[in-house]
Amino acid sequence: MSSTVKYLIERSTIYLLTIFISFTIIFLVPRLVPGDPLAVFYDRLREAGAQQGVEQMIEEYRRLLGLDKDIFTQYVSYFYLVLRGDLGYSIGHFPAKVSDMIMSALPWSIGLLSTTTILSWLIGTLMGAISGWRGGRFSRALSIAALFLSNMPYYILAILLVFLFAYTLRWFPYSGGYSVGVTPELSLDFVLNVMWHSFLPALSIILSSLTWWFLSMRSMVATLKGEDFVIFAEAKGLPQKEIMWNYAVRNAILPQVTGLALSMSRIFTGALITEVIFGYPGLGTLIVIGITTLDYFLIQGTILLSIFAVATATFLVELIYPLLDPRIRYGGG
Amino acid sequence: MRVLLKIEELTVAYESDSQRLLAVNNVNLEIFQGEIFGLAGESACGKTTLANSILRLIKPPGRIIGGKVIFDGVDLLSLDENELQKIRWEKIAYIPQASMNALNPVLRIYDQLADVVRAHRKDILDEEIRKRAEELFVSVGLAPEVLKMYPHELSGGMRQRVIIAMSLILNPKLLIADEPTTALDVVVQRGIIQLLKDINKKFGTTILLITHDMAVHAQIVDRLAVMYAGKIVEVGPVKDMFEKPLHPYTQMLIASIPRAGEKRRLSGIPGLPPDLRKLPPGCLFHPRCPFRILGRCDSIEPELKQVSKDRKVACHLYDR
Amino acid sequence: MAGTSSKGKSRSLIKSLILIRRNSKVTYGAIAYLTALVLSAAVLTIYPPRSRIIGYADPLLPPSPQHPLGTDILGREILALLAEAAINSTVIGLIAATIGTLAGSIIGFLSGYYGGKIDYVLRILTDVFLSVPSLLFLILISSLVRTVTIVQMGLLIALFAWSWPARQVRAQALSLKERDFIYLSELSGESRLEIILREMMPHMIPWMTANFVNAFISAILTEAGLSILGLGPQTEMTLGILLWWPLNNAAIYRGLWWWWLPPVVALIYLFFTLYIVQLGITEIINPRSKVI
Repeated sequence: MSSTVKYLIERSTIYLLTIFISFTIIFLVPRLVPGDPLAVFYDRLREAGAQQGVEQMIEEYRRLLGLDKDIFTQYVSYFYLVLRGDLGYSIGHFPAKVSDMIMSALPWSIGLLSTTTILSWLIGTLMGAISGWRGGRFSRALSIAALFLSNMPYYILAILLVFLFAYTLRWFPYSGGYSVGVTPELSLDFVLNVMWHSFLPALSIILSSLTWWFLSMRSMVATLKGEDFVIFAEAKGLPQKEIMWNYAVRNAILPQVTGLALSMSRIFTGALITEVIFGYPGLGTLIVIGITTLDYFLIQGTILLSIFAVATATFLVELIYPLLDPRIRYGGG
Repeated sequence: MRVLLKIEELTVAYESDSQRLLAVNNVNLEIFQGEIFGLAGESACGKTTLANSILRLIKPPGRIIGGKVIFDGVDLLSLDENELQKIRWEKIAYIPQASMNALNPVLRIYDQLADVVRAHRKDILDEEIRKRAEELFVSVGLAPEVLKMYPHELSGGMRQRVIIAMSLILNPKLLIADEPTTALDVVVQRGIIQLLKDINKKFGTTILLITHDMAVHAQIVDRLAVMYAGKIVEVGPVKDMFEKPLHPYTQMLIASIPRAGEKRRLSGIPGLPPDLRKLPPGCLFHPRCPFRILGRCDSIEPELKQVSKDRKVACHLYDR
Repeated sequence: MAGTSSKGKSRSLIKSLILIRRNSKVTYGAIAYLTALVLSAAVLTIYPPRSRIIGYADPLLPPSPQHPLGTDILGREILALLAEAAINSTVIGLIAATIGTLAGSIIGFLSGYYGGKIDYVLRILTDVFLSVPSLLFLILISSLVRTVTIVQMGLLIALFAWSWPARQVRAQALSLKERDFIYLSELSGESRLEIILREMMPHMIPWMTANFVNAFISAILTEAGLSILGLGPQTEMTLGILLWWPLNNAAIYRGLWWWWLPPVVALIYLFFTLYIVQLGITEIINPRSKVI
């Protein structure tokens, strides 16, 4: 069996296993919590004074949780529901469907996350490569700063940026995806408005993520500088620039890609909280809405989708790896 | 004969914290054009450092602190980076120790051959490179299919031969081969040795062969230099040196070669090479030397002196 | 370091403890952190408990001599709240880190030492727990629970804190298992338990300490994250809750800097000191990795 195929099988298995186990855990969690989960919401709703639609909601819960049937049937029916994309009705915004609410928030999160992840990875890796190759005092200072920043939680940086740029300098808005009163449409004005609102959240995430890539690439390239084949490239009389790109960076990029795959969870959760701080209308804010309105189905649906998104993104990055490493493509020998 | 490479008083030091050790200690050497020159000595005696310094590949904490490396009349140590790049590979090629690791894991063999050619001949065509590569592969005994492969798909011996082919691709005047036969099995070793001989004969390439294996020197080298603790202790034609080795260290090196058929006790060399951080006074070899002259060898360093037409020794036994 | 006498073992244990103490980063970082805790305790004794109850003073007062850090929207003394939060967050971190490191170390050790099917199953479990975004599950779980206490929060975070130590300890156990001195001990007739406790432990302790510090930092930051989202303990004050209040009341927009700045500074400070400790421990484990 070719090594590429072996690699793909292994990665696919882990991917599917992760989704499956996560799905199971999400299924089990409400059923393991002591007491009838429905009672909690029923009580809370009554406390909040909700009267209308309560009967339909109870029926909805019954259907979705299938509490009258045995656990296996519940599992299977939940599985089929999810497969069909039916994540139930939102408790707090009944009769809105959870899947619809997710669909309106999803593009915002995907847009923000994909651009920031790619940008921070590219910029960080590039900076790291040059810094690792050149060395010198400036890059040492940079790396010390980066070391410190890289471990700080995303939300701290977000708060500081809001204070600096939104409050003090008033250059950017505090929150939201677009200005109040503006109707979403496909116009240049709207797009610019969105970008103006997305700038700070994006900057926050990029700065927080960039440092990781910078540091790992830097150390990788610096290590590679001493490798036999790099010194040999010098003996061959190749110009420094060519050695840096084709010999050092081409090899250092491999663990960088692996690192990207491994960091997906971390980046996602960091971005989530950042979204909340900026009131950005993505999945993060959606989860918080669910939390404040005690909308369990919204929370559950959003989290299920989030886990699926993270696992898929990780898997996609892992698919890129064989394209870069010939030892995986043509293993053996 | 014309001198191709003249090393004058070359000294290379390794500096760490407060210590400095001299890996290459005031070395003087001459290599004639067209010959195969051998450099012998135990491991860590400075042979590889010497080879690396010819092409200025010494990396920190190592540093060339003195001397000249005159190649074809030009001191390589005085050139700037650009001029040095032109000399590298085109005039002087280098087969490093453990050269199986010298190949870039993510590039195809052909690409690694082509990039060095293009670095020196800007406008050369792809077909020309390919043709030349395939010719060379034939002479080193590799199939042209190897060009399409990646290094990890080849065996150690094949990778070695790729490096050798690569070293010849620009037809260099001088080829430095550092332990080209170690870590290979005997059969492959013989092939490599024969290959180097052929290269020298066919193309007139001057070869500096570095190895601790005296048997290899005996087989192909014209002249031989023996190195100990960073210093040259004896130089001469290989046949003379084997028949009548002058320096006690040379004698021991030659005696340590196992000869088939002879029933003789294998003699190693007693003692250990000196700690380069704490060199003994006088002759560096005297602590291990069975012939040392008390009062002389332990206090005064012997100079490398000419003792006959083509022989030089650094030993007090031959002082006039 | 691997003698066969028990004296040799305890000596090396003491040696590693001395090393830890001598390493300036670890000592200074630890002292800085503990100083903050001591100061918090001092503040709590100075300010009466009712200063942390609604209506103690007028709401949203800026800092002044009577209220060094001002008051929040419920009229509570922010300085006192900060002190309480620092201590509570530390407690959560300790609970999560201790349980996580212990459980993880045991699991990792069993996995690496015994190998075979046990290892296979445990390893896959560990990898899955490592790769899923733990915060998401924590959100899910805590959204279902009615109220969370400090201790429950710690336990909750511990649910995911074990996977990283498990992986590390497993790697350690695997490499130690093959080492010569273990083989010698087996030959010399030491029982399995003795080998584990006497020979392998001293090597794993530095790693476990590093894991503990990591888990501690991670737990505090995770708690803060959860609380910012509104899932924190509502009855007691933690650093995260202390951030939740101002964030949920547009404090930055309203210029109420004394409300949001203290928890931010506190988090940065605590994180920074723990980070120094972390660097120090990494240096001890791998003396070559001196970074700063």
